[in-house]
Amino acid sequence: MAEQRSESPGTLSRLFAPDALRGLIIVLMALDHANLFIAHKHPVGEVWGGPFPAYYDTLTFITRLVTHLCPTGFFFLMGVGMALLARSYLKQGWSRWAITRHLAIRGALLMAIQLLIVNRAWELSPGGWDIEIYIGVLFALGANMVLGSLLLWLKPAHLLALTGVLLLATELVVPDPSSWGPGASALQHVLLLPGGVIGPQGQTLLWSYYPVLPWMELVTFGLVFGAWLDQDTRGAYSRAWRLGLALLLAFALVRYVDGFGNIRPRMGDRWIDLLNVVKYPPSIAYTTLTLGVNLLLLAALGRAGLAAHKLVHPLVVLGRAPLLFYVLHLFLYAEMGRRFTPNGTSIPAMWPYWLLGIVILWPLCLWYGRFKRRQPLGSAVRYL
Amino acid sequence: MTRQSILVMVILLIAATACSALPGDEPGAIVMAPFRREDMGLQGMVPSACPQVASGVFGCEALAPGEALLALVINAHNAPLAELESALLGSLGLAALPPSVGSYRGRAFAWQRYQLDSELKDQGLPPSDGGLYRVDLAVAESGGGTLLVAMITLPADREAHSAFYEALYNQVLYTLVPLSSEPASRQEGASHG
Repeated sequence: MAEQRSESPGTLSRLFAPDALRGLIIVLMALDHANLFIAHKHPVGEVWGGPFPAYYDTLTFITRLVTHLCPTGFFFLMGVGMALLARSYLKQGWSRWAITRHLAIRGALLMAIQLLIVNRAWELSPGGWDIEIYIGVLFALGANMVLGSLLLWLKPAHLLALTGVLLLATELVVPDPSSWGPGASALQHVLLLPGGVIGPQGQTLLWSYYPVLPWMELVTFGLVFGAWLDQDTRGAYSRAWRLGLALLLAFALVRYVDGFGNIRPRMGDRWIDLLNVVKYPPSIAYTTLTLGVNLLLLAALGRAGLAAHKLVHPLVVLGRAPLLFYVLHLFLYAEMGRRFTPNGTSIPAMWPYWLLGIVILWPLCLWYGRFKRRQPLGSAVRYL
Repeated sequence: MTRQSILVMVILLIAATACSALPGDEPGAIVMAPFRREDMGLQGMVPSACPQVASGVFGCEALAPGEALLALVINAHNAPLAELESALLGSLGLAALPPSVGSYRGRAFAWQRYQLDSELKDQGLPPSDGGLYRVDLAVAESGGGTLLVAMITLPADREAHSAFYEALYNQVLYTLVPLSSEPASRQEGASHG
């Protein structure tokens, strides 16, 4: 059936499928962070050089693997949302400059929230936290919103070309994994290369898992997909299906060949090694795998019938208040872990806490989502 | 908030409280770190929790699962296996190598695998219950030289041995390659994204 748009008088309509997908990846993201704060089982990051996780337990690996969908989905859907918002606001009489300014301010706010609020939650990580400035996913989302606001009015063909350039550039600018170590500047780590700046006393002055530019390809592709959705919603979901399958095929090829596109070679020849890819920065293998799955999920949600809409409505609620959920869930899981599992626990024993956190935050997201949608387009609440 | 939401919350709270009484289990993953030896002309990945205690010998006593992994040994010799065999057999306390249990193709080398239980006397290892240690040995001959990689575990813990064999030993064998020209250094990061 055709995609349903929900509307409130005086506000903008929203597509169901992107919100549902965002809600789903929020739930998966919460699993990753519950794994960190409650189970204490979060593996070391899959970085371009240095240490790398090797899994001997399937459940531990799957728990990490499914959460790989999250950053890809967030950046891609942010681009989609920006494109749809720009077109809707234009129809409401906003000027292009006003829309660009609105998104740039929103992006700057996201960056500030990372540095001022979210990093306080990371300081509660089990095992301590000695990083003075952390560049995380919200910072990169915000910075990409600022940059993306300048690209809003480019033609989809130009944005697609830029996406391809960024995808290749991410792979080409990363040094050989054997050169891992100090040496890059803080600016390089913020913009290009995951890693950190170590101070004279050995303290970590800055650490970046999410440098801004390597994730930009997903935002530019999201801008393209948003334009497709606006022109022909049904056609866009058909494209998502075909593109998703093509990306998964490309992933299989890139991993099988095990050369360009992987940043560092496979660690072995098990199925786990095939799927255990470099995430920081997003290798072509990572991007094709996770964007492929995200597109297939989006296509499935876009084609879902009314019964399925009712079934996944709870996800839509989360997907319409992502920032509130993101900020609150980190503190909530940190506190749960501190109180109930100070020494960690098994992954299955972590699941009730993970679900409990979602159930606690769901009514707040429901209220906030409704409250936000009631505000006029120029309201300050619309920035958050 | 509906009655249903409150009910779900209460059920989850009870389940979570019950689960918090359960003991934690193994981490499920091992952190592998780059290994580079100029003198051997080799680089690869070894567990970061296994410090190098002697040339090519990595002590791993505190590594989950089961803390059954005692050591990894990586050695390169400029001689064919036939010339090394008597010294190798002597260190293992064997008269002859047992039949190979299979082969394994890594990124750079083709390995022959052996598996044996040995007393490993005078090797400075922690005591084993039955007095024997499980030794997984892989041998690769390349360019007139011989590479040896051994994993030494406590034989009593079969489950842990299996986990180490699949996820760690194979990865060490798979990732071992001739040295490239770039220097390597280490930098630890945060534990999450």
